[in-house]
Amino acid sequence: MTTQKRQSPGFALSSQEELVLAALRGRERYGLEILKAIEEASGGKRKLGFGSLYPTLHKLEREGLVKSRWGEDRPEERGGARRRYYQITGLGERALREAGQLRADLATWQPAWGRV
Amino acid sequence: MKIKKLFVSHAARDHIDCMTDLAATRTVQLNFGFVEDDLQKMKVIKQGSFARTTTITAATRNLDVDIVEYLSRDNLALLSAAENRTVILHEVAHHGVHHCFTETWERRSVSFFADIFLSPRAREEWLGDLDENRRDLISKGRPRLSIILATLRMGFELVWAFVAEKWQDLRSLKKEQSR
Repeated sequence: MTTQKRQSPGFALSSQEELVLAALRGRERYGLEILKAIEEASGGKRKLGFGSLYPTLHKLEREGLVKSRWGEDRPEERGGARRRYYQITGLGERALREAGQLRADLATWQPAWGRV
Repeated sequence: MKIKKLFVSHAARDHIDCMTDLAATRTVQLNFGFVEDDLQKMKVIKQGSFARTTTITAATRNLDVDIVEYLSRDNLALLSAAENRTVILHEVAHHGVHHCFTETWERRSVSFFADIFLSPRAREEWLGDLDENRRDLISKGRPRLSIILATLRMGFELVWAFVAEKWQDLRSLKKEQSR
């Protein structure tokens, strides 16, 4: 897959992209595991469907925010199909940090005429 | 006369339904046991399409069962700990068990469309996740109808996502070419 890394200095992550990246922080996971992580960590409040997960992962991979590899085992419960593991990259970590920073900045932001 | 009950886990029940769906009135050989692991054989006769109408008839080795009761796996474990004379069907040993996950009509329908639309990478990754999820639902004791609906919904989402992604790629390629 060709990688088209984001050129702009800032990242504009969608909420789904942010969730997926956050789920990959710290350890690599495969598709179904990402869905379960998001659902269980949010207490069922946030759910991602298969239909939005894979396009999001592919987009993040194209942009160099995650990378992926095939797992080596062929579990019986998957009919012998391998798992595709995704891992966050340095660029992905940075994008996630920036998204967190933006939230923090928003919380303290004041209009220019309101500043003393 | 004491009434004998056969306790069956939901997961085992779904395996049975699935297998009997594959070939109506086919005799399916199952392993089940007393808590002492005395394995015996029984015969399954299909009498309906859905889970709760399936009748299980124990036909061999002097085993007469009057009532079949379906329990969750956790409750089965509790029961087996509490009563060591209870007959518990806990596992279906059949060469075609895996086919229950891939050879049902709903899974075949998803495969049919996946073969047309998905790339080999997406097929292996996505259908693998779908199968694992189906297996998870079955082991949680979800009813067969709910598994059918979940599979069809997931299959539709997967194919739709792939087509939408390709359509997006095509559009951005056209945009680049027109510049």
